Amino acid sequence: MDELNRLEERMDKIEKEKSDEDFFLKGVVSDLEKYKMASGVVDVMGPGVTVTVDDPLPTQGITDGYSVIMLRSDLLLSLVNKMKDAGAEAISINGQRIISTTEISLAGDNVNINTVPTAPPYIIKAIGNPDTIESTLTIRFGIIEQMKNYGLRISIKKADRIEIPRYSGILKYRYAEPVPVKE
Amino acid sequence: MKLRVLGFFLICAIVGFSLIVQARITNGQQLYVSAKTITDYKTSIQTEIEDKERIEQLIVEAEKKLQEYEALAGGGDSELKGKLVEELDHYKLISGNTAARGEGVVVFVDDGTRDLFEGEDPNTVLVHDIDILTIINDLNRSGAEVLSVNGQRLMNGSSISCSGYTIRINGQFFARPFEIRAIGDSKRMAAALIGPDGYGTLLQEYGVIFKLTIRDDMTIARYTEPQNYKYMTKAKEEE
Repeated sequence: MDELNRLEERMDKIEKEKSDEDFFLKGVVSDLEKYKMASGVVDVMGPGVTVTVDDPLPTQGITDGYSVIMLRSDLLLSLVNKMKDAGAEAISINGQRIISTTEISLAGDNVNINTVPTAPPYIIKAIGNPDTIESTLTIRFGIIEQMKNYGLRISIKKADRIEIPRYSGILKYRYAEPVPVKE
Repeated sequence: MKLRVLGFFLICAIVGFSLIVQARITNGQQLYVSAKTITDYKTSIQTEIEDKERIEQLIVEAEKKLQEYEALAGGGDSELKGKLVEELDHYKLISGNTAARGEGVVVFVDDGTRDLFEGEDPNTVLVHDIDILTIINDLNRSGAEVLSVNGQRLMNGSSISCSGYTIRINGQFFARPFEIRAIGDSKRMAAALIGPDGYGTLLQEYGVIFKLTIRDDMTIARYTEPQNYKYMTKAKEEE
Protein backbone atom coordinates (compact mmCIF):
# COMPACT_ATOMS: atom_id res chain seq x y z
CA MET A 1 0.00 0.00 0.00
CA ASP A 2 2.75 2.40 0.93
CA GLU A 3 4.56 1.49 -2.23
CA LEU A 4 1.52 2.37 -4.28
CA ASN A 5 1.20 5.70 -2.56
CA ARG A 6 4.83 6.44 -3.21
CA LEU A 7 4.52 5.60 -6.88
CA GLU A 8 1.44 7.73 -7.24
CA GLU A 9 3.13 10.58 -5.47
CA ARG A 10 5.95 10.40 -7.98
CA MET A 11 3.46 10.41 -10.82
CA ASP A 12 1.71 13.40 -9.33
CA LYS A 13 5.04 15.14 -9.05
CA ILE A 14 5.85 14.61 -12.71
CA GLU A 15 2.41 15.85 -13.61
CA LYS A 16 2.83 18.92 -11.43
CA GLU A 17 6.28 19.74 -12.72
CA LYS A 18 5.09 19.53 -16.28
CA SER A 19 1.93 21.41 -15.59
CA ASP A 20 3.86 24.32 -14.16
CA GLU A 21 5.48 24.76 -17.53
CA ASP A 22 2.34 24.65 -19.56
CA PHE A 23 -1.00 26.31 -19.11
CA PHE A 24 -2.98 23.71 -21.03
CA LEU A 25 -1.50 20.85 -19.05
CA LYS A 26 -2.36 22.60 -15.83
CA GLY A 27 -6.02 22.50 -16.77
CA VAL A 28 -5.84 18.84 -17.72
CA VAL A 29 -4.16 17.85 -14.48
CA SER A 30 -6.64 19.65 -12.28
CA ASP A 31 -9.51 18.12 -14.24
CA LEU A 32 -7.95 14.72 -13.86
CA GLU A 33 -7.79 15.19 -10.11
CA LYS A 34 -11.48 16.05 -10.04
CA TYR A 35 -12.61 13.08 -12.09
CA LYS A 36 -10.40 10.70 -10.15
CA MET A 37 -12.08 11.88 -6.99
CA ALA A 38 -15.48 11.27 -8.55
CA SER A 39 -14.43 7.80 -9.74
CA GLY A 40 -13.46 6.74 -6.24
CA VAL A 41 -9.82 5.96 -6.94
CA VAL A 42 -8.37 8.26 -4.27
CA ASP A 43 -8.21 7.77 -0.53
CA VAL A 44 -10.46 10.36 1.06
CA MET A 45 -11.15 11.67 4.53
CA GLY A 46 -13.71 13.85 6.22
CA PRO A 47 -16.41 13.91 8.90
CA GLY A 48 -18.91 11.08 8.94
CA VAL A 49 -20.24 8.03 10.72
CA THR A 50 -19.06 4.50 11.35
CA VAL A 51 -21.67 1.79 11.64
CA THR A 52 -20.70 -1.61 12.98
CA VAL A 53 -23.01 -4.51 12.29
CA ASP A 54 -22.44 -7.87 13.88
CA ASP A 55 -24.39 -11.08 14.12
CA PRO A 56 -26.42 -11.86 17.22
CA LEU A 57 -24.45 -13.25 20.14
CA PRO A 58 -23.77 -16.90 19.60
CA THR A 59 -25.88 -19.07 21.83
CA GLN A 60 -24.67 -22.22 23.38
CA GLY A 61 -26.12 -25.45 22.13
CA ILE A 62 -27.33 -26.31 18.69
CA THR A 63 -27.51 -23.46 16.21
CA ASP A 64 -28.04 -23.63 12.50
CA GLY A 65 -24.72 -21.93 12.00
CA TYR A 66 -26.03 -19.36 9.56
CA SER A 67 -25.06 -15.75 9.74
CA VAL A 68 -28.10 -13.50 9.89
CA ILE A 69 -26.49 -10.52 8.26
CA MET A 70 -25.04 -12.61 5.47
CA LEU A 71 -28.32 -14.27 4.64
CA ARG A 72 -29.98 -10.89 4.66
CA SER A 73 -27.32 -9.05 2.71
CA ASP A 74 -30.05 -6.96 1.13
CA LEU A 75 -30.17 -5.18 4.49
CA LEU A 76 -26.63 -4.02 3.88
CA LEU A 77 -27.64 -2.93 0.40
CA SER A 78 -30.47 -0.83 1.68
CA LEU A 79 -28.35 0.54 4.52
CA VAL A 80 -25.86 1.80 1.95
CA ASN A 81 -28.69 3.15 -0.16
CA LYS A 82 -30.05 5.08 2.82
CA MET A 83 -26.61 6.50 3.51
CA LYS A 84 -26.34 7.71 -0.06
CA ASP A 85 -29.78 9.21 0.27
CA ALA A 86 -28.60 11.12 3.33
CA GLY A 87 -25.89 12.65 1.20
CA ALA A 88 -22.91 10.45 1.95
CA GLU A 89 -20.10 11.29 -0.43
CA ALA A 90 -17.95 8.22 0.06
CA ILE A 91 -18.86 4.87 1.60
CA SER A 92 -16.90 1.74 2.33
CA ILE A 93 -17.79 -1.65 3.79
CA ASN A 94 -14.94 -3.53 5.42
CA GLY A 95 -12.47 -1.50 3.44
CA GLN A 96 -14.25 -1.98 0.12
CA ARG A 97 -15.08 1.36 -1.45
CA ILE A 98 -18.63 1.53 -2.77
CA ILE A 99 -18.63 2.79 -6.35
CA SER A 100 -21.39 2.82 -8.93
CA THR A 101 -20.78 -0.76 -10.04
CA THR A 102 -20.31 -2.26 -6.58
CA GLU A 103 -22.43 -5.31 -5.88
CA ILE A 104 -23.41 -6.79 -2.53
CA SER A 105 -24.30 -10.39 -3.14
CA LEU A 106 -24.50 -13.61 -1.26
CA ALA A 107 -22.24 -16.12 -2.99
CA GLY A 108 -21.98 -19.47 -1.30
CA ASP A 109 -20.72 -18.93 2.21
CA ASN A 110 -19.64 -15.34 1.74
CA VAL A 111 -21.03 -11.98 0.91
CA ASN A 112 -19.16 -10.62 -2.07
CA ILE A 113 -18.53 -6.92 -2.24
CA ASN A 114 -16.53 -5.72 -5.24
CA THR A 115 -16.00 -9.47 -5.92
CA VAL A 116 -14.03 -9.75 -2.66
CA PRO A 117 -15.52 -12.13 -0.09
CA THR A 118 -16.29 -10.48 3.24
CA ALA A 119 -17.55 -11.65 6.62
CA PRO A 120 -19.05 -10.10 9.72
CA PRO A 121 -18.53 -7.93 11.65
CA TYR A 122 -19.31 -5.37 8.96
CA ILE A 123 -17.82 -1.96 9.48
CA ILE A 124 -19.50 0.56 7.24
CA LYS A 125 -17.97 3.99 6.97
CA ALA A 126 -19.58 6.98 5.35
CA ILE A 127 -18.31 10.50 4.81
CA GLY A 128 -20.93 13.21 4.83
CA ASN A 129 -22.91 15.27 7.29
CA PRO A 130 -22.67 13.07 10.43
CA ASP A 131 -25.91 14.33 12.00
CA THR A 132 -27.97 13.85 8.86
CA ILE A 133 -26.67 10.36 8.21
CA GLU A 134 -27.05 9.31 11.82
CA SER A 135 -30.62 10.47 12.13
CA THR A 136 -31.60 9.09 8.74
CA LEU A 137 -30.50 5.66 9.84
CA THR A 138 -31.89 5.76 13.35
CA ILE A 139 -35.32 7.10 12.47
CA ARG A 140 -38.14 5.13 14.09
CA PHE A 141 -39.02 2.03 12.07
CA GLY A 142 -35.97 2.88 9.99
CA ILE A 143 -33.28 0.62 8.71
CA ILE A 144 -31.39 0.27 11.99
CA GLU A 145 -34.54 -0.71 13.85
CA GLN A 146 -35.34 -3.19 11.13
CA MET A 147 -31.91 -4.71 11.48
CA LYS A 148 -32.13 -4.79 15.24
CA ASN A 149 -35.33 -6.79 14.92
CA TYR A 150 -33.24 -9.52 13.37
CA GLY A 151 -31.15 -9.56 16.54
CA LEU A 152 -28.17 -7.90 14.92
CA ARG A 153 -25.83 -5.91 17.12
CA ILE A 154 -25.36 -2.44 15.74
CA SER A 155 -23.44 0.58 16.91
CA ILE A 156 -23.23 3.98 15.27
CA LYS A 157 -20.43 6.39 15.96
CA LYS A 158 -20.06 9.91 14.66
CA ALA A 159 -16.56 11.17 14.05
CA ASP A 160 -14.88 14.32 12.82
CA ARG A 161 -12.39 12.43 10.78
CA ILE A 162 -12.97 9.21 8.91
CA GLU A 163 -10.68 7.79 6.31
CA ILE A 164 -12.06 5.77 3.44
CA PRO A 165 -9.73 3.84 1.16
CA ARG A 166 -9.76 3.94 -2.61
CA TYR A 167 -11.38 1.36 -4.83
CA SER A 168 -8.75 -1.33 -5.00
CA GLY A 169 -9.69 -3.08 -8.22
CA ILE A 170 -8.56 -2.16 -11.68
CA LEU A 171 -11.17 -0.13 -13.47
CA LYS A 172 -11.22 -1.14 -17.07
CA TYR A 173 -14.36 -1.20 -19.16
CA ARG A 174 -14.61 -3.87 -21.81
CA TYR A 175 -18.01 -3.02 -23.18
CA ALA A 176 -18.64 0.63 -22.57
CA GLU A 177 -16.83 3.23 -24.56
CA PRO A 178 -17.11 7.00 -24.42
CA VAL A 179 -19.25 8.82 -26.93
CA PRO A 180 -17.37 11.71 -28.47
CA VAL A 181 -19.00 15.04 -27.76
CA LYS A 182 -20.42 16.61 -30.89
CA GLU A 183 -19.77 20.25 -31.33
CA MET B 1 5.11 -14.24 59.67
CA LYS B 2 4.93 -10.76 58.25
CA LEU B 3 6.53 -12.01 55.05
CA ARG B 4 3.90 -14.71 54.73
CA VAL B 5 1.02 -12.20 55.08
CA LEU B 6 2.63 -9.95 52.54
CA GLY B 7 3.10 -12.86 50.15
CA PHE B 8 -0.50 -13.92 50.61
CA PHE B 9 -1.67 -10.42 49.92
CA LEU B 10 0.45 -10.24 46.79
CA ILE B 11 -0.94 -13.50 45.41
CA CYS B 12 -4.49 -12.33 46.12
CA ALA B 13 -3.77 -9.08 44.32
CA ILE B 14 -2.38 -10.86 41.26
CA VAL B 15 -5.26 -13.35 41.08
CA GLY B 16 -7.80 -10.57 41.52
CA PHE B 17 -6.18 -8.40 38.93
CA SER B 18 -6.04 -11.15 36.35
CA LEU B 19 -9.70 -11.89 36.95
CA ILE B 20 -10.52 -8.25 36.25
CA VAL B 21 -8.46 -8.31 33.08
CA GLN B 22 -10.24 -11.47 31.96
CA ALA B 23 -13.62 -9.93 32.59
CA ARG B 24 -12.66 -6.76 30.76
CA ILE B 25 -11.33 -8.38 27.62
CA THR B 26 -14.22 -10.76 27.17
CA ASN B 27 -16.45 -7.72 27.31
CA GLY B 28 -19.14 -9.48 29.27
CA GLN B 29 -19.70 -11.95 26.46
CA GLN B 30 -19.76 -15.65 26.83
CA LEU B 31 -16.49 -17.31 26.13
CA TYR B 32 -17.94 -19.48 23.46
CA VAL B 33 -16.36 -19.61 20.03
CA SER B 34 -18.67 -21.10 17.49
CA ALA B 35 -17.54 -22.65 14.22
CA LYS B 36 -19.17 -19.74 12.47
CA THR B 37 -16.96 -17.22 14.23
CA ILE B 38 -13.92 -19.13 13.07
CA THR B 39 -15.07 -19.22 9.45
CA ASP B 40 -15.87 -15.53 9.69
CA TYR B 41 -12.32 -14.82 10.73
CA LYS B 42 -11.08 -17.05 7.96
CA THR B 43 -13.07 -15.09 5.39
CA SER B 44 -11.87 -11.80 6.83
CA ILE B 45 -8.29 -12.95 6.43
CA GLN B 46 -9.12 -14.09 2.91
CA THR B 47 -10.49 -10.62 2.20
CA GLU B 48 -7.25 -9.04 3.35
CA ILE B 49 -5.20 -11.41 1.22
CA GLU B 50 -7.27 -10.73 -1.86
CA ASP B 51 -7.16 -7.02 -1.26
CA LYS B 52 -3.40 -7.23 -0.95
CA GLU B 53 -3.17 -9.09 -4.24
CA ARG B 54 -5.29 -6.49 -5.95
CA ILE B 55 -3.17 -3.70 -4.56
CA GLU B 56 -0.06 -5.48 -5.77
CA GLN B 57 -1.60 -5.54 -9.22
CA LEU B 58 -2.28 -1.85 -8.93
CA ILE B 59 1.36 -1.30 -8.00
CA VAL B 60 2.47 -3.14 -11.14
CA GLU B 61 0.15 -0.97 -13.21
CA ALA B 62 1.34 2.18 -11.50
CA GLU B 63 4.96 1.24 -12.10
CA LYS B 64 4.26 0.70 -15.77
CA LYS B 65 2.54 4.06 -15.99
CA LEU B 66 5.34 5.77 -14.15
CA GLN B 67 7.90 4.40 -16.55
CA GLU B 68 5.84 5.67 -19.44
CA TYR B 69 5.57 9.05 -17.80
CA GLU B 70 9.26 9.26 -17.16
CA ALA B 71 10.02 8.34 -20.73
CA LEU B 72 7.53 10.89 -21.97
CA ALA B 73 8.71 13.58 -19.59
CA GLY B 74 12.11 13.34 -21.19
CA GLY B 75 10.63 13.72 -24.65
CA GLY B 76 8.42 16.41 -26.07
CA ASP B 77 5.52 17.99 -24.29
CA SER B 78 2.95 16.94 -26.83
CA GLU B 79 3.38 13.22 -26.13
CA LEU B 80 2.79 13.70 -22.45
CA LYS B 81 -0.19 15.84 -23.26
CA GLY B 82 -1.68 13.07 -25.35
CA LYS B 83 -1.15 10.56 -22.58
CA LEU B 84 -2.74 12.81 -19.99
CA VAL B 85 -5.73 13.55 -22.15
CA GLU B 86 -6.19 9.81 -22.67
CA GLU B 87 -6.11 9.33 -18.92
CA LEU B 88 -8.59 12.14 -18.49
CA ASP B 89 -11.02 10.52 -20.92
CA HIS B 90 -10.74 7.23 -19.05
CA TYR B 91 -11.65 8.74 -15.71
CA LYS B 92 -14.33 10.90 -17.24
CA LEU B 93 -16.02 7.74 -18.49
CA ILE B 94 -15.73 5.99 -15.14
CA SER B 95 -16.95 8.95 -13.14
CA GLY B 96 -19.95 9.34 -15.43
CA ASN B 97 -19.00 12.62 -17.03
CA THR B 98 -19.14 11.33 -20.60
CA ALA B 99 -21.94 9.58 -22.38
CA ALA B 100 -21.14 5.92 -22.90
CA ARG B 101 -22.09 3.44 -25.57
CA GLY B 102 -21.82 -0.29 -26.02
CA GLU B 103 -23.82 -3.51 -25.92
CA GLY B 104 -26.14 -4.13 -23.04
CA VAL B 105 -29.67 -4.68 -21.82
CA VAL B 106 -32.71 -2.50 -21.36
CA VAL B 107 -35.01 -3.49 -18.52
CA PHE B 108 -38.53 -2.18 -18.50
CA VAL B 109 -40.48 -2.39 -15.24
CA ASP B 110 -44.03 -1.20 -14.70
CA ASP B 111 -46.84 -1.74 -12.22
CA GLY B 112 -48.90 -4.84 -12.86
CA THR B 113 -52.32 -4.53 -14.47
CA ARG B 114 -53.84 -7.85 -13.40
CA ASP B 115 -56.85 -7.98 -11.11
CA LEU B 116 -56.13 -8.43 -7.44
CA PHE B 117 -57.25 -11.47 -5.52
CA GLU B 118 -59.77 -10.99 -2.80
CA GLY B 119 -58.09 -9.11 0.03
CA GLU B 120 -54.75 -8.98 -1.69
CA ASP B 121 -52.32 -6.20 -0.82
CA PRO B 122 -52.00 -3.88 -3.85
CA ASN B 123 -48.31 -3.51 -3.01
CA THR B 124 -47.65 -6.88 -4.59
CA VAL B 125 -48.25 -5.56 -8.10
CA LEU B 126 -46.51 -2.22 -7.62
CA VAL B 127 -42.88 -1.44 -8.34
CA HIS B 128 -40.90 -0.31 -5.31
CA ASP B 129 -37.55 1.32 -4.82
CA ILE B 130 -36.19 -1.92 -3.42
CA ASP B 131 -37.12 -3.70 -6.67
CA ILE B 132 -35.13 -1.22 -8.72
CA LEU B 133 -32.28 -1.43 -6.22
CA THR B 134 -32.21 -5.22 -6.39
CA ILE B 135 -32.30 -5.23 -10.18
CA ILE B 136 -29.37 -2.84 -10.24
CA ASN B 137 -27.47 -4.92 -7.70
CA ASP B 138 -28.08 -8.02 -9.81
CA LEU B 139 -26.91 -6.21 -12.92
CA ASN B 140 -23.75 -5.08 -11.12
CA ARG B 141 -23.22 -8.62 -9.98
CA SER B 142 -23.22 -9.84 -13.53
CA GLY B 143 -20.72 -7.31 -14.70
CA ALA B 144 -22.59 -4.16 -15.69
CA GLU B 145 -20.26 -1.27 -16.36
CA VAL B 146 -22.47 1.74 -16.90
CA LEU B 147 -26.04 2.03 -15.65
CA SER B 148 -28.90 4.46 -15.87
CA VAL B 149 -32.48 4.59 -14.66
CA ASN B 150 -34.90 6.62 -16.75
CA GLY B 151 -31.95 8.34 -18.36
CA GLN B 152 -30.36 9.26 -15.07
CA ARG B 153 -26.78 8.01 -14.94
CA LEU B 154 -25.97 6.13 -11.78
CA MET B 155 -22.96 7.53 -9.97
CA ASN B 156 -20.99 6.41 -6.94
CA GLY B 157 -23.29 8.33 -4.66
CA SER B 158 -26.58 7.67 -6.41
CA SER B 159 -29.34 6.48 -4.16
CA ILE B 160 -32.68 5.11 -5.19
CA SER B 161 -35.35 5.90 -2.71
CA CYS B 162 -39.06 5.85 -2.43
CA SER B 163 -40.74 9.19 -2.00
CA GLY B 164 -44.41 8.40 -2.01
CA TYR B 165 -45.70 7.80 -5.52
CA THR B 166 -42.38 8.55 -7.13
CA ILE B 167 -38.83 7.33 -6.87
CA ARG B 168 -35.99 9.73 -6.25
CA ILE B 169 -32.72 9.16 -8.08
CA ASN B 170 -29.83 11.61 -7.92
CA GLY B 171 -32.22 14.04 -6.27
CA GLN B 172 -34.65 13.97 -9.19
CA PHE B 173 -38.09 12.43 -9.20
CA PHE B 174 -39.28 9.70 -11.51
CA ALA B 175 -42.57 7.90 -11.78
CA ARG B 176 -43.42 4.58 -13.34
CA PRO B 177 -42.64 3.04 -15.81
CA PHE B 178 -38.97 2.58 -15.14
CA GLU B 179 -36.39 1.92 -17.78
CA ILE B 180 -33.06 0.64 -16.58
CA ARG B 181 -30.19 0.55 -19.03
CA ALA B 182 -26.97 -1.29 -18.42
CA ILE B 183 -23.90 -1.59 -20.60
CA GLY B 184 -21.88 -4.75 -20.14
CA ASP B 185 -21.95 -8.43 -21.03
CA SER B 186 -25.55 -8.51 -22.26
CA LYS B 187 -26.04 -12.29 -22.24
CA ARG B 188 -24.76 -12.65 -18.72
CA MET B 189 -26.88 -9.80 -17.41
CA ALA B 190 -29.99 -11.09 -19.16
CA ALA B 191 -29.45 -14.60 -17.82
CA ALA B 192 -29.01 -13.30 -14.28
CA LEU B 193 -32.35 -11.51 -14.35
CA ILE B 194 -34.62 -13.79 -16.35
CA GLY B 195 -33.16 -17.10 -15.25
CA PRO B 196 -35.37 -19.43 -13.19
CA ASP B 197 -34.13 -17.90 -9.94
CA GLY B 198 -33.74 -14.41 -11.33
CA TYR B 199 -35.36 -11.37 -9.84
CA GLY B 200 -37.15 -10.61 -13.09
CA THR B 201 -38.88 -13.97 -13.00
CA LEU B 202 -39.91 -13.33 -9.42
CA LEU B 203 -41.40 -9.96 -10.30
CA GLN B 204 -43.30 -11.50 -13.19
CA GLU B 205 -44.74 -14.11 -10.87
CA TYR B 206 -46.02 -11.31 -8.67
CA GLY B 207 -47.70 -9.80 -11.68
CA VAL B 208 -45.39 -6.85 -12.12
CA ILE B 209 -44.63 -6.05 -15.75
CA PHE B 210 -41.00 -6.85 -16.44
CA LYS B 211 -39.49 -6.82 -19.91
CA LEU B 212 -35.89 -7.26 -20.89
CA THR B 213 -34.38 -6.46 -24.27
CA ILE B 214 -30.85 -7.10 -25.41
CA ARG B 215 -29.35 -4.33 -27.49
CA ASP B 216 -26.17 -4.51 -29.54
CA ASP B 217 -25.54 -0.84 -29.33
CA MET B 218 -27.00 1.80 -27.11
CA THR B 219 -26.00 5.00 -25.41
CA ILE B 220 -26.28 6.10 -21.82
CA ALA B 221 -26.28 9.81 -21.17
CA ARG B 222 -23.76 11.51 -18.94
CA TYR B 223 -24.42 12.86 -15.48
CA THR B 224 -25.32 16.48 -15.90
CA GLU B 225 -25.37 17.96 -12.43
CA PRO B 226 -22.28 19.66 -11.09
CA GLN B 227 -20.43 17.55 -8.57
CA ASN B 228 -19.22 19.30 -5.50
CA TYR B 229 -17.96 17.58 -2.43
CA LYS B 230 -18.58 19.42 0.78
CA TYR B 231 -17.23 16.96 3.25
CA MET B 232 -14.62 14.75 1.76
CA THR B 233 -11.13 15.80 0.90
CA LYS B 234 -8.24 13.86 -0.50
CA ALA B 235 -6.40 12.01 2.27
CA LYS B 236 -2.74 12.88 2.27
CA GLU B 237 0.06 11.14 4.01
CA GLU B 238 1.13 13.13 6.99
CA GLU B 239 4.67 14.33 6.66
